Amino acid sequence: MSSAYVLRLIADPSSLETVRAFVEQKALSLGVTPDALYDVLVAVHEMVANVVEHGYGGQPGVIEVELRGEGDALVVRLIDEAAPFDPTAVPAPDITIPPHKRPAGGMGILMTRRYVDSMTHRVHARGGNELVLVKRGVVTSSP
Amino acid sequence: MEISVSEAQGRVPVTVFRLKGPVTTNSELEQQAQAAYDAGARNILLDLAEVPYMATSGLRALHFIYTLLRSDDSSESDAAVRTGIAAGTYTSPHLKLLKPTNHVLEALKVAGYDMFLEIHSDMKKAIASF
Repeated sequence: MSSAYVLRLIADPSSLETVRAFVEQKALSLGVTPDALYDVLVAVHEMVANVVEHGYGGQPGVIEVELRGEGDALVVRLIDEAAPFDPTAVPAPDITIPPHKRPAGGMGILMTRRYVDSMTHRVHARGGNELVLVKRGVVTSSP
Repeated sequence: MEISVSEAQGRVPVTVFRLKGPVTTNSELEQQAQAAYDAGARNILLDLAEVPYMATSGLRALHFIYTLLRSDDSSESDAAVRTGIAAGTYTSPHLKLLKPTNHVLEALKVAGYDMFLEIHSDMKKAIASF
């Protein structure tokens, strides 16, 4: 069982940089390959941005980011205290609609699905959301 | 992200936005584009050669600029755009992209933005294409 790293912070738009830096540093120390790191950063960025923008609607709110290795997989758990929202239940946007008729948003979930192998959601025991992102085959060494 | 703005002249005037650094918010790019539009810009080329990463908020900014620059011309009517995208013959005549990095190109493809935004690899040819 490898180490887990946890970051807990008050979410606002400036938190995204902090979260990215944390994920980058800790993923590398867990042995994640640099190529896979990009994919993980994209996914975490999009999902944390969703929580900041939509979950908390710009109001301050807690978000917890946990990274751990499980075999060759990197597991990222994101916990927030926002109203329940299941991103895995959101249908993929229709990208064949003429661009001016499309909603500008909704791409974050699409992008996250593209960059991780699995994404599961549950309403957390203490309220809020727990989203688990798994990227397999990316951890090459034990810390 | 840094944005430097310059003017180029092809068959029509083209405003070149050179972006440097990751694009992780939409507001700055949208504000700059709106300011250029208000000052008369109608054709924008985004130089993405030094953008290692574009979050979907950056894609949202591209969508904003695309919509901002879309004209009332019949070639850009709903029907023309819908038909042209389905046939692979429509791209925006007013917003084009230059040299996206591999990661950014992948994001554009995942989002389907490569279906309506021309992607160029040469600055001169890009300017001349407007």
